Amino acid sequence: MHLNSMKYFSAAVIFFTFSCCIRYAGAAASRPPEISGESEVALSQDDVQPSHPGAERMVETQLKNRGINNPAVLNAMLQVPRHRLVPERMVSSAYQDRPLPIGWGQTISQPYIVAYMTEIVNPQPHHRALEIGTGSGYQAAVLSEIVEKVYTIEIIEPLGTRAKNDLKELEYENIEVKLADGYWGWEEKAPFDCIVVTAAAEYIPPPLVRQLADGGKMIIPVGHPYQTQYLVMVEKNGEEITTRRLMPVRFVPFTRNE
Amino acid sequence: MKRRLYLTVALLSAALISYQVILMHVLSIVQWHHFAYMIISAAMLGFGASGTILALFRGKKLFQSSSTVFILLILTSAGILISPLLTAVPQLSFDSYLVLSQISHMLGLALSYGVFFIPFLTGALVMAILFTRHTESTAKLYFSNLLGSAAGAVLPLVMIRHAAPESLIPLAALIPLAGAVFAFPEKRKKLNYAILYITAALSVIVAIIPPSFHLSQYKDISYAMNQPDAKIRGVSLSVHGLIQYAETPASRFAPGLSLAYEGEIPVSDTIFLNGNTLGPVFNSGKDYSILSNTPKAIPFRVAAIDSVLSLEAGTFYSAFYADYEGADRITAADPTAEKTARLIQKHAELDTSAFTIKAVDSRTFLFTTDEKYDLIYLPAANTFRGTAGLYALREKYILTLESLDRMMDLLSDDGILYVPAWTDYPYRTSLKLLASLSRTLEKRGMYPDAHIAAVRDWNMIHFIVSASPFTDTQKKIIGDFCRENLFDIAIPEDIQTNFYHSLPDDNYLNYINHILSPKREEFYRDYKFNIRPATDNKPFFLNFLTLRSARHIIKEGSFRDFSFMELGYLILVFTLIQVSIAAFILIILPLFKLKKKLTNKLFSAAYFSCLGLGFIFMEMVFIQKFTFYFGSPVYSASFVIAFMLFSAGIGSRLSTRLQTTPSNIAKVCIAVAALAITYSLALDSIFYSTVGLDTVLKVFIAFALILPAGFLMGMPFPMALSHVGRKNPYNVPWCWGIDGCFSVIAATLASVISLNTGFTAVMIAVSLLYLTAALSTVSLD
Repeated sequence: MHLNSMKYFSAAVIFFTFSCCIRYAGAAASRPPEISGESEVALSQDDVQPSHPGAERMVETQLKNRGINNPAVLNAMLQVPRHRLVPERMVSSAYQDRPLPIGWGQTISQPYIVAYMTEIVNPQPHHRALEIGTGSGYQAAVLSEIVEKVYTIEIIEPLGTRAKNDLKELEYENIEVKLADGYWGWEEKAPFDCIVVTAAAEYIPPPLVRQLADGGKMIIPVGHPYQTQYLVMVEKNGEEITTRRLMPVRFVPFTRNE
Repeated sequence: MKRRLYLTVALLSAALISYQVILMHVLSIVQWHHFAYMIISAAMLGFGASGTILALFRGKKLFQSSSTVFILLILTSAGILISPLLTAVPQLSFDSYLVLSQISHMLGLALSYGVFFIPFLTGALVMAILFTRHTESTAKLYFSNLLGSAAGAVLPLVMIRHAAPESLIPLAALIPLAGAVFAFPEKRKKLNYAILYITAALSVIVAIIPPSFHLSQYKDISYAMNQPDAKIRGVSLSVHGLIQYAETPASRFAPGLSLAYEGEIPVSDTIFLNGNTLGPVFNSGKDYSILSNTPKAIPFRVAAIDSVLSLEAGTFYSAFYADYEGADRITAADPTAEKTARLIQKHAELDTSAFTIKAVDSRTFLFTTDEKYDLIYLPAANTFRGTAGLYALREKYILTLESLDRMMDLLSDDGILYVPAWTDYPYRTSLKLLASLSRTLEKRGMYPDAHIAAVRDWNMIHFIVSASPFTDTQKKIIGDFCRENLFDIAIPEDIQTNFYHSLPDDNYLNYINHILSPKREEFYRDYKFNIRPATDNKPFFLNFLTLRSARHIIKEGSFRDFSFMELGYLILVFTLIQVSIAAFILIILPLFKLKKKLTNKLFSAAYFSCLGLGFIFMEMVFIQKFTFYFGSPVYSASFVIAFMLFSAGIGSRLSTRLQTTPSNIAKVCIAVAALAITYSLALDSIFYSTVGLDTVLKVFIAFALILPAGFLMGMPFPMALSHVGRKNPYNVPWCWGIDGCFSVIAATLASVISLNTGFTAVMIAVSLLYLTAALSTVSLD
C-alpha cells in the first residue's frame, strides 16, 4: 500500500512539474534563436601562386569546355588565387566545380558562374565596375584583373572586413571595399560601366539603375545562391532600360568534376 | 496491478507519438522542412526492429527481469532528452542545403536519424516485452496503446501553444518517466528512485533553460539577422509555427517594381514564420504606395474596386495596398492573421482595423462566405525565386480547379482575380497557372483569351482575370500602364509585346498561345513537364513531374537539370528506396533465423503486408484530405492520428468478443474494403457541404467520419495475430515484423501514388489490399 502511494505520489509530482514547465517554458519563447555563421579566417599561409594548378585545370575543364572564350576573362580566372579566398577547411575544394559556403549563409560562387557573369558584362580595361555583395572578394578580384577600378560593397560586416583584409594581402590595389547597404550603390564613384550584383534580389534597386553609365550593363542573379541562379542582364541605352533573362546557370550539388 | 500496466503502456504510447509530432514541429523551425517521412520511418523502424530483437532474444534472462521495462522507459526518456543537442550544437546538426554536398552534414543527418531512432526502439521494446509477457491481455494492452497514442497526438497542440519551441522536447521526455513510475521494479528501490528523480530533474532543468536552436545559416531569418541593426522585436507561438517580428532596417520589398520608377523603396520590417519570410511590414501606411508602381495596381486602373479579398494574406501587404487605393471593404484571410495583426499593431503601430481579419485557411474561407468581391488578391503561385522543387509534395488547395472556380463565384460582375507567378525556367509554374485559369473559365462557359490579361516584368508574370470580358478601353489602359512602366504584355494576344523583358528562349509566348488555343490537350501531352491543372484529388500544384515525364527527361539526358528542380520528388523516391531496404534488412532479414519454427508463412506474409500498407495508406489519405477540411496540416495530422488510433483502439478492444475464425477475419477485411470505396465516393461531397462550419463542429464531424474506418481497421490485426499466435507463438514476431516493415514503406509509397494518380487511387488501393487480406485467410487452418 505504502509503495503504491509512493508511486502515485511520484506520478503526481511528475505531472505537476510537467504542467508547471509548460507554463514557465512559455517565457523562454521571448528569447531570439541563436544564429551563427562560420568564423574561420580565410587565408592559408601559402605564398601567392599566380596560376595555381587547380586554376589551370578549372579553366580548361569548367570554363573553356562550357563556352567561356573571352581571353581577358580566362586569364583573370587563371590569375586569381581562389584557394586564398575560401575558408581554410575549404582550400582543397577551392577549384571544384561548385560554390562553397563561406559563412553567414553566403557562398563563393561556382567558378563558371563568376566567369560567365564577368564575360557577359563585357568588361574593358578602361571600365569602372561596381560589385554588390563582396562576399569572399573573389568576383571583385576577377574583375580587377580586367578593369581599371573595382568598387565593391558588402553589408555583412565580418564578411566585408575579411574580404578587405584578404584582398589587401593579395595586393589588389585597384579594389575598394565599403561596408554598407548595397541598395544605395556608390553615388560618389558613379557612373559605372558594369555592375555585378552577386546577391539575389526580388527588385532592381533604382539607385543602381541611375548609377549605370549610358551603354552600361548590370547583371543580377535570381535564385537561392546555393541552388539555382537565373541571371538577368539589365541594359541602359539612353532613356531605354531593358532586361534580358539569360539561360539559367545551374549547380548540381552531387556532381563533382575533380 | 493490471491497471498500472495499462497506464504504463498508455503513457509510453502518448510519449512516442508526442515526440514524433514535436520533432516535426522543431525540424520545421530549424530546417525548411518537417522531415515527417524521416521521423515516421525512424519510428516505424524502431517498432519493427524491437519485434525482431525480441523474437531473437526473448529467451535471454535480460528480457525476463522485472527491472528491464523500468530501465528501458528511463532510456526512452533519456533518448528523447538528448535529441535537443542535435538542434543546438552546430557540430552535431545538419543543414538540409548542405546534406548533398558535404560529408559532415551527411553524417549529421545520419546521426540525427540514429538519435531519433533510439527512443522509438527502446519504447517499442517495452511494448513488445509487455505484449509478450501478458498475452492474455493483448486486446486491453492494444486498447491502452492506441488510447495513449491518440492522446499523444493531441497533446502537442496544447504544448506548442504554450511552451517555447526549445522546451518542447525536454517536456516530452517527462511523459515516459511518468510511465516508469507505474512500472517501478520491486528490487533496488533506492537506486531506481534516484535514477527516476535524476532523469526527471534533468528534463525539468532542460525544459526551463533549454539550449537555443542553431538555425540553418541559409534560412531567411539568418540572412536577415546578419544585416546591420537587425533585431527580433516580438515573438508569438502558434500551432502553425513560431512567428517572429524583426526590425530589418536594410530590407526592402517591391516585387514587380517598374524599372521606370526612380524614387526610393522604403525599408520594411519583416515577419518570419518558422524562420521563413511571411512578409514585409512597412513603417507607415503611405509606404505601401510603392506597390502602385507594380502590376498589382492594374486592377485599380481598369475597374472600380470597392471590396477586396486578400487570400493567404501573410503580413497584409495586399490589404494595406488596397486600403491605400481607397477600397472600402477589405477582408484578409490567413491562418496566422490574428497573431500577425497583433504583432504589427504592437511593433509597427500600423492600424489593421480597416480590414476584416479571418484567421482561417484561405481555401476554407472561400466556403464560409457568399459575399461578392470586386478584387481577389492571391500571392505568387510559387515560392520566391522559383525553388519549387523542395515544395513539390506540399498540397496547395488554394490553386486547384475547384478553388479557382469558387473564387470566380465570389467575384462581382466586373470583378477581378489577380494572381502572379515567378517565371521559372524551364517554364512550368506560370504555364500551369494559366492552364488552371483557362480551364476554370472554360468550364464556366467563358472564353479564356477574352477574360485573361497577363503582364510580364523582368522576373514575374501577373495574371489578371476579369469576370466580364476585357473591353477595348480596359485593354488600352493596360497597354498604357505597361508602356509607362516598361512592362510587357503576354495576354491578350492582339496587344502582346516583347520589348522590355526578353526571355531565355522565344517559345514562352507560343506556349501561352497554345494553352489559350483549342489544341491545348495536345500541348499538355507533349510538354516535358506536367502542367495540367491541379485538382482537389491531386492538389500538388508545385509538382511538375510524372513518372512518364521523368523517363522522358532522363532519356533526353537532362537528368542534371531535373535533379534539383524536382528535388522534393527525388527525395521522396530516394526515401522510398532507402526505407524499403532498411526495413527489409533490420526487420525481415533477421527473422529468417526463425524460418524453421514458423507456420502459415504464406498467409502471414500476404495478410500482414496488406494490413501494414492498407492501414497507413488510409491514414495518409485522411491526413492529406483533412488538411483541406481543417485548413491546416498540423490540425489534420493531430486529429486524424488521434481519431484513427482511438477508434482502432475501440475496435481492437471489441474484437475480443468476436471469435477469431478465418471467416470472421475475412468478413471484417471485406467490410474495410467496402468502406474505403464508400469514402472515395462520398468524402468530397461531405467536405464541400460542411467545410464552412465552425472548427469545433468540424472536429466532431471528422471524428464521426473517421470512427467507422478506425473501428473496423483496429480489428483485423489483433484477431489474426491472436489466431496465429495461439497456433504457434513464433509466428507473433514474424507477423509483427511484416506489418512493421510494410508500415515503414507505406507512408512514403502513399505519397508517391497520390502524387502520380491522386487520392482516389490510394483509397482504391486500400480497398484492394484489404480484399487481398480477406482472400489470404483461405490458407488459414
